[in-house]
Amino acid sequence: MTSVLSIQGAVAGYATGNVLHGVGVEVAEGEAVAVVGRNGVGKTTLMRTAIGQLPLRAGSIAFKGTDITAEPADRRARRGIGYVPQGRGIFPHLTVRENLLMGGFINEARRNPDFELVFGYFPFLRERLGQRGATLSGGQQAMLAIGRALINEPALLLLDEPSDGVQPSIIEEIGEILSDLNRTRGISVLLVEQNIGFMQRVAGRAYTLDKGRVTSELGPEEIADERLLAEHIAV
Amino acid sequence: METQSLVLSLLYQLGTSAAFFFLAAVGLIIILGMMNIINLAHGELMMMGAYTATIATHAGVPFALTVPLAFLVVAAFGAVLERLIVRRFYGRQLGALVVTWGISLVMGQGTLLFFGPFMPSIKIPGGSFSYGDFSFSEYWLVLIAISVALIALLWWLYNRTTYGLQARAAMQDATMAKSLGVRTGRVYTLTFSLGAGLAGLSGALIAPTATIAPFMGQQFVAPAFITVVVGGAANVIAGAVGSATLLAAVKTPVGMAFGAFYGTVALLFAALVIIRIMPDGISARLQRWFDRRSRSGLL
Repeated sequence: MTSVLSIQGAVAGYATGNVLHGVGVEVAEGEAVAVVGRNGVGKTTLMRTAIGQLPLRAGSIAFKGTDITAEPADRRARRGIGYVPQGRGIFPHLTVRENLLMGGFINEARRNPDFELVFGYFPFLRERLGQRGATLSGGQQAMLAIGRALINEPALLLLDEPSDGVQPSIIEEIGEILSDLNRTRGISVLLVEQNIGFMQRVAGRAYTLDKGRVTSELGPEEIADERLLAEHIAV
Repeated sequence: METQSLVLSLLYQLGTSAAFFFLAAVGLIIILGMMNIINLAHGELMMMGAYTATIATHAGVPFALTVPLAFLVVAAFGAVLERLIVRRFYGRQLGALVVTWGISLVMGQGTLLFFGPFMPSIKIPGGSFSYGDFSFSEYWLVLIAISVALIALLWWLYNRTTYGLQARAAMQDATMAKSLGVRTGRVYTLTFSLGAGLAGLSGALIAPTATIAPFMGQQFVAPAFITVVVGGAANVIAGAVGSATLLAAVKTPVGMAFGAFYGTVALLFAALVIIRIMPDGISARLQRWFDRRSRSGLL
């Protein structure tokens, strides 16, 4: 299997100090991988480093075999990485339609925003096209953010806690959609998540993160083991 | 006949006054609304446009051609300013304020050194005609038409083009826009250049009606800022149009009845009251109304 995303020895952080101390994460083509861990262990920092919002202080990142360590976020997105950030990053004063259009710059090679693809998964968006992003509920915003990242069929989706602040029935629906995107469309997924059920539904493999380091790699059987997972995530 | 000409005259005064507010503010509002930069060099960019038009007219270029020329010259100057200086101050609003103030000083003093304290002005193109007891300037009617055309053009640019979409997204969340593939640096250069170019265009349009001097820009800064603050940043074009119209609607009748000085006093007082009632400006009020309608399915 060829690698879509390869992060090696990543050291990154903020002015106050490093948060990641040499993290290595691999996502192969067509794979859905989760990163689990408690609050404050560096999950969001890892995602921001992967898309390029934070520079690497050491280590390297490759996308489909090309070294992208020195590339800014916009360049990485145009290569085909769709990013759904923590808090969803919906543009509050843009309409739903305009928010979706903003996903059209991802995956430059394709350049053909497929609204029908998005409506197929999230039909409610069709009726809300003229409404401002800020007027949607949390769950609707989460779905809009996924639809936006999806509209140009990226090779890889980076999802930072998409279930956060979303009601349980909608979380289940989003989980099924992500799983379907991964299995039938072959879009690779890197998911940061605290909701165990959601993570189990989507991911086939997981890393546990603690204090800025990968502490273990979990295969499909280990992911199914609630007790083992709870040990890694529990506060 | 007499009431008819009075009404026409009032509408004309209202239109010229609103056009003046809009033209004075348009470059400033684009840069403030789309980049959150308070551009204190706005008046000097207008001055530069006025000088470009005046020098070109004296050199024999038809006035109608000097206006787009002024837009291009000042837009190019704005792009250079953004690349060399302004971009180092993004996210630091006070820093940007001080540095654009510095640019304004250099531009004003530089013009004084290079061109001297005065330049022969150009005469107002076109004539005037009278209707009833009142006379109307053809040139100001053209300026009203140009303002309306500019509003339509800017609305189209920001709502129907890729640049406009990217600029509005970058204004709301620059990090997110960049993470979705937008070359935000290029968007900012274009926006600053457009704002500067529009200031130059306005300066050229106002040049025939003004005294051409190195510090002529200062007189436009106060009305420009009042228009911008009253309009608010929720939707800069709607804000500028609403605010220019409202301010003109206050200034014109008072000015006609009691003289220009009291017109200005009424204008400042009205701005004070509007900001007190609507701290986020007219456009934020419009936006809340629009949201209520769109949520209840009326739009």
